[in-house]
Amino acid sequence: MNLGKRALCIVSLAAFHLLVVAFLGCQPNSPTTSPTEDFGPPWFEDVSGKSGLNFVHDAGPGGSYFLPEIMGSGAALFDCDNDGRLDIYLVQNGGPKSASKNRLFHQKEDGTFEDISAGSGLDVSGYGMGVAIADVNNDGFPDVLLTQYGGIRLFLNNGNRTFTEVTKEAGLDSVHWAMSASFVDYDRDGWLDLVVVHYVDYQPAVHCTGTNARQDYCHPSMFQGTATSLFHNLGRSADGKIAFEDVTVKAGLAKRPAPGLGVLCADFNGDGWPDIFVANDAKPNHLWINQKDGTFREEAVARGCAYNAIGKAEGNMGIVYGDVDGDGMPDLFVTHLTSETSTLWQQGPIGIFTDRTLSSGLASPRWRGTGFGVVLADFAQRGCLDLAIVNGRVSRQSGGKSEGFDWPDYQERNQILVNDGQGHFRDVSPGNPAFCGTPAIGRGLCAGDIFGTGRVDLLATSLHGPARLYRNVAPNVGHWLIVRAMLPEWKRDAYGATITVRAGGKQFTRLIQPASSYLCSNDPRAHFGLGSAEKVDTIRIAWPDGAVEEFPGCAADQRLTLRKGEGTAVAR
Amino acid sequence: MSDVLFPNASARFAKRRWLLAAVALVGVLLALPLIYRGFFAAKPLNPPQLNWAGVDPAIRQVLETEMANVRGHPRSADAWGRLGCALLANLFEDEADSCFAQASALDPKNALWIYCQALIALSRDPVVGLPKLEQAVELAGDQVEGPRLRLADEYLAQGQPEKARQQFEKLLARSPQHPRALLGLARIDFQTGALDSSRRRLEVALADPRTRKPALALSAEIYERQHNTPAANRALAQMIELPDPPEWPDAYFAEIRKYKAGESIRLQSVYQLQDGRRYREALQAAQELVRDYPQSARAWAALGSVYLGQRNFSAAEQALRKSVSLEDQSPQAWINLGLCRYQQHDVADAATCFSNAIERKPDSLQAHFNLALCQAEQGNRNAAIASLRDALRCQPLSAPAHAKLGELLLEEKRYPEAIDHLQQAADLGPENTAYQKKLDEARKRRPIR
Repeated sequence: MNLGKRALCIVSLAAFHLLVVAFLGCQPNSPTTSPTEDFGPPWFEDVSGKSGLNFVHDAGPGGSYFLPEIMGSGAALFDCDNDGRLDIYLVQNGGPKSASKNRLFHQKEDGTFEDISAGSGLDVSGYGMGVAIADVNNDGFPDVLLTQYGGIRLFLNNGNRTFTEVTKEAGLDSVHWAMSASFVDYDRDGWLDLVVVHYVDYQPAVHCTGTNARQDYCHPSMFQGTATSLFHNLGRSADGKIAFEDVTVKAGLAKRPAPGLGVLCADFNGDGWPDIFVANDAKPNHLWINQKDGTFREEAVARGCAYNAIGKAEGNMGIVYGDVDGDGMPDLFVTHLTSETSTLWQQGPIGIFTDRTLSSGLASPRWRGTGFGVVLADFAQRGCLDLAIVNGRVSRQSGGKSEGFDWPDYQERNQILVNDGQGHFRDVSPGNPAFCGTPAIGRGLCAGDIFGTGRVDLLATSLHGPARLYRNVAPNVGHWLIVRAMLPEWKRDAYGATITVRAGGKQFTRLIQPASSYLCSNDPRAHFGLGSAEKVDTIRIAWPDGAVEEFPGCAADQRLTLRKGEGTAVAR
Repeated sequence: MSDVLFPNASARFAKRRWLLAAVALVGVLLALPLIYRGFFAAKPLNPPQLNWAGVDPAIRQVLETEMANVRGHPRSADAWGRLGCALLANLFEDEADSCFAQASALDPKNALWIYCQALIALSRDPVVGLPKLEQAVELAGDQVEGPRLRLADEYLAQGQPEKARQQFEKLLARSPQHPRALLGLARIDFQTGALDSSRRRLEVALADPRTRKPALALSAEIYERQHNTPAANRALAQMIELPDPPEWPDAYFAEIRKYKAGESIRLQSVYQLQDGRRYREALQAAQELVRDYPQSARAWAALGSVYLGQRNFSAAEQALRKSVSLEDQSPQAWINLGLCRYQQHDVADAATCFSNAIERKPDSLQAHFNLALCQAEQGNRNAAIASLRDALRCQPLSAPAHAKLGELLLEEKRYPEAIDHLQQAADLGPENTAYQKKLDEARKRRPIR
């Protein structure tokens, strides 16, 4: 080829290249996911069908934009009959006149579930929101607290897979829109008290306009927030009845109404007394610090967990609390809207929180979503806590294809983020199609060793969709330990206890508090992934009454029940 | 053949061919921008097709006006940009985005169109939206501060504090006491652990009502980290008393907002005027609203509310009756109707209206409280006491409900309970001397054992 031809060729190629660039430069950006990126084998398998869990959530007719219907409903994982296996309670939101009732699924020996709702007493209908589980009368059987648009309902466990409603006689008759709830012994009297987070003073007649100038669900800022309620458990009276006293005003909680969605009760300032963290929707969060005299003081702003790093209040929804960076101090993770980032507030020094969402790699997930339910657990038992989040919008997405109202316009995909052990997360959602692949309007997410394998399995609820059960099938998992902490004097789980396990030169801390995530109650036992450590060196439990005990080490890969008074007392 | 006849023809032709090709290619290259314009600009797109189902007619009218303008001036960047603004204001984001793209292609120097595209992109993915925002700020220069402030905040949110600092400093260069810029710099200092410097920078922001609340929040955080809990608590106590500040003004944002239309925005305006005690304007706005939306229960309820505020009870009743006849599910409409009837001395009818409100909203303090007043007036004290207890279940911090309950219990000679409620009323509403007076009276009347 002579020089001229070569030059012609080069110029032509350059011109072609320019044309290509000119055209492609106008195309939208392609997804950043590299097709060759290795996410490893999936961690979860959807076993809903196989296991007999055939629950479909009723969110009402839709299309009337009645705000409670978009908030969804949660679920509970709990052992309703003390047979050692976790059962499932699922909540409906079709309204009091709906034929859809809440359902109780009992786990059989073979790991499948049978519907025992009929006649259980828990088969009620209503605008159901969340569930909290606790043995409120200390009789050794877990009781059920249901939250609804229009109040709460308490069902005492009869010990035979049936329940009796005692709401009114227990002094829990209420009219507010209740969301998440948690049991906590805030005054250390041995009886579990109740915290109920309320959302807004909703006016159904208010109409709101959203995407494409069409009617949509209202933003909470359209309504006044309401105060979180605290009910003091007065214990069992002589006739065996349980009674609560509404101490909201006395405790100081009534002073700060806000649109609350999530709640988590734990010792946030290291003084050994339980505090209350409330996630408020589009308003600063509240951190009620226990003053040890029956009152609480709100300190979220000063402690750094009211706003995000740039001083903005976000759409705070689901909450988890766990030590993501292995420094011994639990951190706070709260899920937020699609247009925001879910936020990680790392603790350090004790009682002070700093937004570390960016440096932890959580600001740029593979896709964005409106996160509700969230779990922080060691899914592969590597010795660090990973994240699972269920997503689903609260307003119609831009470009929604439906002409009228259609639930799919609110669907999003879930996410799984893997911790590198230092508190840095990597989004591996594309590698987990069972959990993350199908869009849904995700709301509740519960975690627990559902199938008795020593691993953390998941139960997800979705609005106007099926509840899904995900079995943990992560390959090459490490060793594990499951600890149930019991208070023999009160015949129940030690809600509020902190368990620290030392193994393989590391220490792992877990809180016993089933009420976390969004509208959910989780397995009350603590699950520890131990990595390659085949044995545990020591187990230390800080009990809810302030006492600390140490228990001897043991082999890994087993379930332990540790009772207060059976360990060696040590200084705090 | 030609080679024989024209011995140098082959070489000459080869040379010419090379030359022709080169000229042609240069021509093509030169024509590329024209080709580009031909593809993308010379044939402007039609205005986007919208699905009008469920769209307020007033919004549709605004959008159709701008669409017609685009059709009339398809090569006008301004027309496309205005249509984009109208679409964005009414939350047609995808369609707005394509209009702004068209406007930017026709007038690449207009910062507003790029800014609007940036806002849309940021709402979807902040990382993707950031370069667009940078471009908008570059184009806007110092003409408007909104985009620069937004960019500084975005840098901060995306973990680029030094770039954020530069933007805040540019704002300070023009306005050295800029409270938002100083607040931003204080936040950067706080993030980098320079707590004293952060606190110093907050002085101006603390003095400005538009930034006082967030500045107090940051002060509290700084004091807490400096182990000065009393100072943190003082800052918090001041902070919680303040209302949320309005959004910092953004001229570009205001430009978009002009295009907001429809019943909802007009309803909001009526209530804002009423809250701001601009009654005459509120009435006019409400009357225009019912004229334009005669079948809207909300519009009639708003008109009723304005008349009620003006104590024109018969006109209010008429509007509210119309509202509940169109749609009877609004508890507030029933409460307002009850208030009208009460003011017109029809206590029984008022009580019915409040009961209707309670049926629709069982947690309404106002409905329970007003029902109690009616029941008390009808001589049914026990029912009134029960209604007030219901009211307090809805809002345990209501001083008037505690006071009224205390008063009724006092009439029933239930002294300890009465004193308890009157005490709570006095504690919750210390500014109301009547509560303390009633409490003193109750204490005096309590028989001494």
